[in-house]
This record gives sequence, C-alpha cells and structure tokens, in this order.
Amino acid sequence: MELSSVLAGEKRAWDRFVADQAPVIYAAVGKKLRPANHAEDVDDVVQEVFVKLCRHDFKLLRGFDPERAKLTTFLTVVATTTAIDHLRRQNAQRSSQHRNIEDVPETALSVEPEVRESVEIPEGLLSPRQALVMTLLYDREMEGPEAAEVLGISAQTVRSLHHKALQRLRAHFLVENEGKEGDDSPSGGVEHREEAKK
Amino acid sequence: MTRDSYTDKELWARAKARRGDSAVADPAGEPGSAEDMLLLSAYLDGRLEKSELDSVEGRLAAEPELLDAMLSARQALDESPAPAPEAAVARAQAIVGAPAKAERRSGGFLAGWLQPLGWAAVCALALIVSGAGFEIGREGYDAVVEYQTLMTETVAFEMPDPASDLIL
Repeated sequence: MELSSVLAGEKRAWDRFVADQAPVIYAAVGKKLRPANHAEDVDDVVQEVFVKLCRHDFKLLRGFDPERAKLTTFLTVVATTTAIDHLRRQNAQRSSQHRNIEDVPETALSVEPEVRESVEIPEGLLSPRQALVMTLLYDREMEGPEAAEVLGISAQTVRSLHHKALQRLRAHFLVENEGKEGDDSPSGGVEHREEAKK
Repeated sequence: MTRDSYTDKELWARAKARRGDSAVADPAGEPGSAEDMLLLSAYLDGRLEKSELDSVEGRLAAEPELLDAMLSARQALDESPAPAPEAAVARAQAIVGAPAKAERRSGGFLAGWLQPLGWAAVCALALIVSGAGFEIGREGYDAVVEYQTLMTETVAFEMPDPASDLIL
C-alpha cells in the first residue's frame, strides 16, 4: 500500500488503507476502552482516529516517517492516545455533572481516575533511565522483570539502575540534611546516613 | 533489591516532593502532537539514537500522560490485531469522499460562497416572476373590466327600440 497515494487524496488508496489498518486501530482502541467499561464507544473512537489522521489534509499522517517507526506502531500510538483522550473527556464530563460532591454516589467516587503526580527531581541527580526505573517501580508499582520488559532491558540491569538511583538519592538528601541544623526527616535521617555511608 | 522497604519508597516520595522547589518548565505535556507520537513510536520500535533515548526516557519519567500513552501502546502492540466490523470500516472509508466530492470541497472558499448566492438568486427570480405575474394579471383584469363596460354601453346605445319597429 502506497502511503503517498493516500496523502494525495486518492479515494481508492484511502479505502485500501482503512481496510488494511482498521484491525490495528480497532485492537488498540478496544484494548484501552473495554477494561474501562467503555466498550460501546469503541466504534466512535475508531472513527475519531481516522478523522484525526486525515484532518487538515492528512497533517498527522504526513508526520509519519517510515525511517523512524513502523506504520502499525505509529497508528497504535495514535489510536491509544485518542482512546486515552476520550476516557479523560468522559471522566471530566462525569465530574462536571456531579460537581456537588453530596450528589455523587459512593460507587462513582471509587472509579474516579487516579491523579498522577508529575515528577521533578533535582536536575542531573538521576539519569533519565534511573528516574524512569524509579517511576515504574514505585509510581506504577511494577515488579523488576515487568519494568525490564517495558524498557527492553534485562531484569539485572533494572536492579542495578534501581540500586544506583537509591544510592544517589540517599547521598543527595544526606548532604542536604547535613546542611541544615536539625534533622527534619520524620523517620529515617540516621538510617539514611548509615545506608549512604555503606 | 529492597524495593518494598519503607525507606526506599520514602526516599523516592521525598525526591518527587522536590517538584515544588524548582520551576517546572513544561508541566505534564500531553502526547498530542505528531512529533510526540512519532517519537513514542520510534521509542517503542527501538529506533532512537542515544541522545534522543535519554530525552524521551526523561520525559517519560516526568510526564505521567506520556508514560500512560507509552505503556498502553506497548500493551496494545502485544495484542494481535482484531478484525474490525465491516460497518466500521465502511464508515471510516466514507470519511474521504469520492473524487467529484473532493474536487467540490477543494473549491473551498469560493464553493462555500457560491452555493448560498445561487439559492438567493433563485429566490429573487421567483419573487420577480411572481410579482410580475401578479401585476400583469391585475392590469389584465382591469383592462377586461374596462372593455366589458365599454361594450355594454355601446351595445345599449346601438340596440334598436323594439317599439319603433312596431310603429313602422
């Protein structure tokens, strides 16, 4: 399938493109929406993905570079982000409908999306990969082998990155604590110092 | 690895709490641009250079939305493609119209203005025709009435007196 023909606006090329790629997009959207109990929205979000691809004279599709990534990967990312946006919109809509907290049933409160905290650790303290390993292990509560699979590295490397990241953090906070007159750490100032010295 | 110990977790929580101490240049951007999507795709396909890899992993650690997108896309890629319903495929194919429609759309600005103008011209013509028709009809009626009045008077004037015939 020639992507250039699709971008040139040839109807037959577009039809072929849709027929070839719909299964990839359908799977990605369904994978995100079905577990979130939004299976009935899958068809609409799939349409939204195709509209997004050809909107503004195929601007998004023109941004694809076959030298950089596979088309199926690119379409999966587009489909996934569209599905995530859809879920966010739905949640925001639901929240605005139940603005009065007393009107919200307890069950609805329990399925509110988890608010993720952005991470901004001191510049240069951890390498990007160390920070990502820490995020996956602690914020996303992944096991070592799972994080290794996500990063495409060995579990041993994950353990090593984790260990080094902890060492750097301990050393950083030890220095910081020593700069202060008192130890403001609630539970482990001494423990951190001792571990950092090891 | 001692990731379950309280102190490790606390340490990470403390590092994250530092976020308020320094300015956040680009807080939690959303992966909506074509560049971000291509970057994520390249990351997932393992086609990034070292410097790009560092940059993307740094962003993944700092931007939860981007990390969500990456993890979800990775999970989806592990799945085999699902057959899409024919109706959904047909609906998506219809998004891009047939060539004639495309050409009409490509008229863009001009086509958008000409269509209402055309309808306005048709309406104006219809008004003129109906107005003229009404006027012609009204004038015609007046003429007929006038003619009939004249004829009645003439006939009455020329009609012989029946009594005079009897005298003759």
